[in-house]
Amino acid sequence: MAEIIRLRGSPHEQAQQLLPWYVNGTLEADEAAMVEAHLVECAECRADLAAEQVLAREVAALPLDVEHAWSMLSDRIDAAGPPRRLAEPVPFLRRKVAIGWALGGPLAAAAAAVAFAVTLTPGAPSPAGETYRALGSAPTAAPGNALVMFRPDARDSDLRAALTKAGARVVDGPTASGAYVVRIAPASRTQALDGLRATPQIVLAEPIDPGSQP
Amino acid sequence: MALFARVVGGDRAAFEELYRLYHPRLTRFLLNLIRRPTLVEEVLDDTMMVVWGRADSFNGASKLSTWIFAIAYRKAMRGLKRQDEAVEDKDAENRVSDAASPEDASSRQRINALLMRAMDELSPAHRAVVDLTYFHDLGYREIATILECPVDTVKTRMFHARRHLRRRLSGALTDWI
Repeated sequence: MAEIIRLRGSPHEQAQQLLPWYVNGTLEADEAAMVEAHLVECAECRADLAAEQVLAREVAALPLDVEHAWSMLSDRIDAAGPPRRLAEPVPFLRRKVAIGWALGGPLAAAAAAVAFAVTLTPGAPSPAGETYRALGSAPTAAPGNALVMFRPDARDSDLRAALTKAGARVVDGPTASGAYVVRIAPASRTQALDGLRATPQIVLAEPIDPGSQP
Repeated sequence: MALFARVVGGDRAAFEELYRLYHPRLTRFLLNLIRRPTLVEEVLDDTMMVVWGRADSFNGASKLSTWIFAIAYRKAMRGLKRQDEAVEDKDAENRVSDAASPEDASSRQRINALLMRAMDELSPAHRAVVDLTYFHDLGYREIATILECPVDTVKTRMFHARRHLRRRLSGALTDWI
């Protein structure tokens, strides 16, 4: 990192140097015009621009907080060695649960189960064909539950602001069609999607559920 | 600026509002820069104490956000130096993390993990330039003001940093494009 390289001089070198700020839209008009003029005639810089736009998006999307905090804790866990667990199971009669609850609990549960079974309509078709899917059975810990597509000219900062406001976290994408899969707390999903749909830079915001194809 | 004028006048409620306004951005900036959550909290507090105590010294030569970020950067570098003197972790660079390897995760998580490691390999000063450009969307002149260095230094750091990041991410990014 310490080496000094000279970047001044040719339009190519100047464009190379300014690309990141061309990408984030902060160049002065004359600088941006110079970069654009060079991009027209330089395939290498056009390729670099594409790569730079991806890099910019990925840096901005880095979930620094959780990931890094977790890796710090993870290092501490490694350093501490395996946690000490109770060596022996506690004998049943010495557990700190009143014997009445230990016996009464299962009885109460059985009674509740009977009560529940009785309330079912006799002869109603059983939902045998359906498979129930717990959240934990999805392939990732927190699968995406909504699909969001942005206008092509939307700025990265607008996208971030819209997603943050909706409490949405990008979990995958862009898909082949340019949409992102996001995760929103299930309880607030409907409201969050309404908010996203009302954002001008957003073309589409639809719920998806585990098992359905985006 | 009306809010800041009230801060200069010693209005605690206005300062709280300013603090809440800047807390997320400063946290992100500092966490990326110094990578130690416990130190981040301390540096953020120190920074905001200076903003509160020395609000009258802001002369409007730069944007308010630039002034605050510059204070944070100085405090962070000082904090890092202090902590490095106290506990130097010589093995940190060679330590192999046994966290899930990048290949195991989904492509998004894989790129995040690769990028995070590549960012870790940069110096704090290089990381600051990358983050201020691509997360905070600042221009190179403003970044030079924050880091108190010449604009050419900002450009050169960015040039080296992105070359490093793209080299580290080469395979993953071509898939991703």
